[in-house]
Amino acid sequence: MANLLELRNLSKSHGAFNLRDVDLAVPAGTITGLIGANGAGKSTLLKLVLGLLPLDGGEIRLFGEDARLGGARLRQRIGFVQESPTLFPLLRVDELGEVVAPFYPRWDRATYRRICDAFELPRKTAFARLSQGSRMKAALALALSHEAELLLLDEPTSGLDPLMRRDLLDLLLEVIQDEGRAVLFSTHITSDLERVADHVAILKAGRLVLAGAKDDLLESWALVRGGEELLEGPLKDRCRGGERTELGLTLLCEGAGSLASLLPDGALQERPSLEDLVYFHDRGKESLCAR
Amino acid sequence: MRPLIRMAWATSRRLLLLMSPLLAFYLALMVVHQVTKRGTDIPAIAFTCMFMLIIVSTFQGLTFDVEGFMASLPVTRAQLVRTKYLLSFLGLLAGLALTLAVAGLAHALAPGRAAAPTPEELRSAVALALVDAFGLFAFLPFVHAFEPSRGILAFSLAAILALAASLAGWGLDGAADLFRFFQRVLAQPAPALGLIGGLLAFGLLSLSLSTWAYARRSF
Repeated sequence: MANLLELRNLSKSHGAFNLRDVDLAVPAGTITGLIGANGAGKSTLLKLVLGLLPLDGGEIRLFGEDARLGGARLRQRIGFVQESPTLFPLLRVDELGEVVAPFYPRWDRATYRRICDAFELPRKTAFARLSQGSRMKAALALALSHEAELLLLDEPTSGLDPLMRRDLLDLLLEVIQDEGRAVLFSTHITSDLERVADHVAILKAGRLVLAGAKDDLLESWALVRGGEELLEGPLKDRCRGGERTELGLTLLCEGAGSLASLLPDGALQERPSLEDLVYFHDRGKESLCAR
Repeated sequence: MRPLIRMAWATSRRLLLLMSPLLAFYLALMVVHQVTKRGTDIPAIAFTCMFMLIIVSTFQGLTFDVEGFMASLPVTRAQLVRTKYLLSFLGLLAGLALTLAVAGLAHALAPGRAAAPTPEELRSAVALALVDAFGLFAFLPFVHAFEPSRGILAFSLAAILALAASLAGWGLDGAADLFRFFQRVLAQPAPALGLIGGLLAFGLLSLSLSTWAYARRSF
């Protein structure tokens, strides 16, 4: 499976924020979810891919080509939706389609109309008069109407109601039925990723702390619940994060398949959710061990 | 660049439509003024027409906060800058054409009271257009180097400093003196050509600066 997007040692300094040494690949025929707390670098990463921010170091390869050399030509093959999209406020939804169409040789008017209708977008309404959710839908309709091979979506489900969110996720699944296409989307909502993502990448303070196939990650990590003795044995070395509550300790440990022999009596091992992976990686284990 | 121009036309058309009552009111006022005062006031008409049309052509993309969206389209930053210059120039030309149309309309409505524009007055209109072009060439690098609001602020500060320096150094009061200077220069063919050539060179320098700065902008 070819990679439509490859990031190698990507770095970017942006005020106090630093994105460092990010390596990530988005294979064709997959949906990759980018997840992390606010300010983790998700939007910065997507903007770097599209050339909206100048790169400090590293390499971006789009469709096998150096993105810096391909520039505008490669962007014809990308559909992008920015967080809180701002489009021309005076233009109506149907006019937005008309003015964006000439930029893309593979623009499909029928697809644009179909998506607008599916999203229940009022086509005769000016963008400025749309609600926040409808603005996101309009931007999505534009991004999905030119047979983009790579979709870069920055928080596309924010502002959408649960029904519409599910429709959008179904639409993304429909997109990757064509195995030459791929989706990279950032989100805060882990349930969206649980539903559609094949691959997951977790960003924390500008660093990629975990990336891989979603099912592999969920298989290879485990939540271990127990008392303070969890931190005294060999389990401590496998721990990447955890929290202490009134009920005891919860640790996120790697190597789920070989943990059983390391567990003290009374400890329980569970399969984590994606939210657990994000949450405990964000927490780290330093605070637990500092006690 | 054609898709960019088409996009700009679609947004400008809508903005013009919104501004049309105001524009129509001013133009009607000027026609009435010309007819009732037994004379033309071309520079005043030109100033209004050009100002309004430059606002539409130059500022619409800047004030709508769509730069990030535009930069994400499959066009180069250089194309975005060139389009902005082209649209500003077209706005200026449209303003000049509208000026002549208003003056011609007043003359057609009341030939006895509103005189046809004299060559002197036409030269004034062109001089004003050149002053506007000079201002645009000075202004555009600022809005391409910075985000629009900061660019406008930086340009305004630079313009105030330049005006203060010209007043203190040579007793010149900026645009008005420049306008009078351009009027004088345009009276002779050779200096007029030199002036236009100089302005074109300044325009090319401005375009290069804008392109260089815009390629480094973050969105």
